[in-house]
Amino acid sequence: MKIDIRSRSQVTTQIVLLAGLVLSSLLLPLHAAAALGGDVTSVEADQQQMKATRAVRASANYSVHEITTPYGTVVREYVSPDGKVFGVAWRGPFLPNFQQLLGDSYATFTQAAQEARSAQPRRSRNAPLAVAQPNLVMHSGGHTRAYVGHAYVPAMIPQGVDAQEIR
Amino acid sequence: MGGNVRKIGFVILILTLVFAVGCGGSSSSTPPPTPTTKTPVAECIQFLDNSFFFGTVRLADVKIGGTTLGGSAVNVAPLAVNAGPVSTNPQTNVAYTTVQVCTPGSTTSCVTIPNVAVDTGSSGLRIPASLVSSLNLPNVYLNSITPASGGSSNGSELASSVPIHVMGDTSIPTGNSIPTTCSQVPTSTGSTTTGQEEDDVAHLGANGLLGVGNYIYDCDVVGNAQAGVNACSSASTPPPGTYYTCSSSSCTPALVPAAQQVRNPVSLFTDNNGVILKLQNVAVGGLPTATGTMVFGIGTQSNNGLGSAVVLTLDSNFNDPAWSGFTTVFPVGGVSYPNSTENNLLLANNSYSIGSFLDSGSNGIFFLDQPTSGITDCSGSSLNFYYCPATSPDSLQATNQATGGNSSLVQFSVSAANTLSFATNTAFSDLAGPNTPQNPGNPSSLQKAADGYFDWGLPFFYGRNVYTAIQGVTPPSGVQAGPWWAY
Repeated sequence: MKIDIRSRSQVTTQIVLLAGLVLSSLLLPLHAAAALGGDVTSVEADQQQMKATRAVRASANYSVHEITTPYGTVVREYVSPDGKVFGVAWRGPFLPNFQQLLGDSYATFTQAAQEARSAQPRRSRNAPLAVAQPNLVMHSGGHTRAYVGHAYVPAMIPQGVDAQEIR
Repeated sequence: MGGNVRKIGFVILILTLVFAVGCGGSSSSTPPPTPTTKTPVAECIQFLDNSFFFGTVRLADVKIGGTTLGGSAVNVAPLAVNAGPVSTNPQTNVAYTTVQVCTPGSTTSCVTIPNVAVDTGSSGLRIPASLVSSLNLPNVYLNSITPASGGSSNGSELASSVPIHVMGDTSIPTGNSIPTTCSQVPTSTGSTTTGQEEDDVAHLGANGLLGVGNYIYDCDVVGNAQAGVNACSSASTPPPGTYYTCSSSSCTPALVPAAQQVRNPVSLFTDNNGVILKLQNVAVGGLPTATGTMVFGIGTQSNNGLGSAVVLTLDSNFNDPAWSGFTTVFPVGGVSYPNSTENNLLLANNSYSIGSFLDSGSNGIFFLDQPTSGITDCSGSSLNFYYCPATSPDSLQATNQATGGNSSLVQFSVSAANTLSFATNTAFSDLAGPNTPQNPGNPSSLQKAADGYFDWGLPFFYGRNVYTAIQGVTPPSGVQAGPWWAY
């Protein structure tokens, strides 16, 4: 948190700093709790971070936590029987926060995006992005007001689950 | 953006406070306005390839078209497809026009900016701050009265005091401290991984972007009350990475009313219900350059009638798979994209694709993937984002079907990208790529990608008159109200 203290009184500064510390202590664990590849408890952290509502549906092989954000984007997190988030999907008018959603896979995403940007001729910035690495498969497409995509960690997909179901 | 603008903003702030205090002491029968600090509005645009723009929203007078700006009539502006203004960053399939930007109310404090890319897939003008540093463009403040108007002036179409996006404006917040929700700088791990800021001329390969899309404002859709549609002004929590309000030192995500959002300047012109892009025909193999015109208004003048073009109404139901787009059937009589039958059996509201769309801001026709289209991806690192059909050019047909029943056949060609001469030519009607390219190192992982939609980019526009009608603008008698496309 960046605070400009030059124009404020000492008392105000202390209050602002205190508020900043409280806010930081609230926010940091949520940022640290990654979704994809993380524990099922990280889904709750995502829900709180997005200030969203959540519905859970279960099948024999996995459960889906559907998070509906206040701004219309729906995020689905796919949780294996052993409580791990093996896939995420989204659809809606705004992109999700990939840093939050992809967790440890975020660096793989940024690397793939950098490769996409270096293509010659370069594709338009809003041309769909695809990642196909051993530790992350991701499709991200759409345009203003309509985005869609999904991501998963191939090795984490439970036995008997088709990756196509992560939508 | 120079310091002058900031000083002006500061003076306005002081005047506002004085005014508010003065009113508070009066004995008027109407209640005094609530004293508020004016907070400038800023905007972030994030892209799928992890690049982003960030800058302030400011008011400008915008003039386009007419003989002094390269057109043949008041409502006609020139289009040129070429490598663009940056020799080290040559562009492919980008259509440029010329825009004049003025300090509001001034006819002398103006800059004429060529090589502004025309984008029917977005709404609003975006200009790098370096190109308008000589002007005094006032900030747009949250909940301020933005006096947008328009018409025509000196033989050009005019949008007066229209909110534009001044890209890369480092005056607010100071020191270019871009909010992390825009740049995506991780805060918990200490990593420096970040998005790529590309809001200057060198990165853009253009002197700005002119969004002439289907909507008046670049986020909200006026008159559509469905949840999620007007999130930028009315969600219970502001969407991350879009609009911000700023102090001098930092910006935070904020709800911003439509009137203070970046606005499609065409919606304020005399000929205000849409645009027609008319680009010359480009045969397979491409051309070094191409030219055409952008005509403002649809059915408002003798030069902008609909003719025999078929109207494809955009799907206006936020919950439909084809929301804000249409359905493409490929091949003719084949599968519909988006395909509502390929559903996740576990979930009720299970649409996972989006509508197909026309977009002059896309430099290729991007559709489906190799397993679904049956067209081979190019191999080789530099071109594997494009198609390389075994038989080149590959002549294809699709049908675009809109909500309301209209449909229109599209004949198009896809050439193997590795046979095209990108060093010589900049205009290609036959450049296409998959939505989800294969990865040579892990091909099995991308079988049958589901992102099944067609992005009909600039290659589609060559040799056609493509109409983009704006939602929420009253059309002339006999012309359907937007949003729709026609060709």
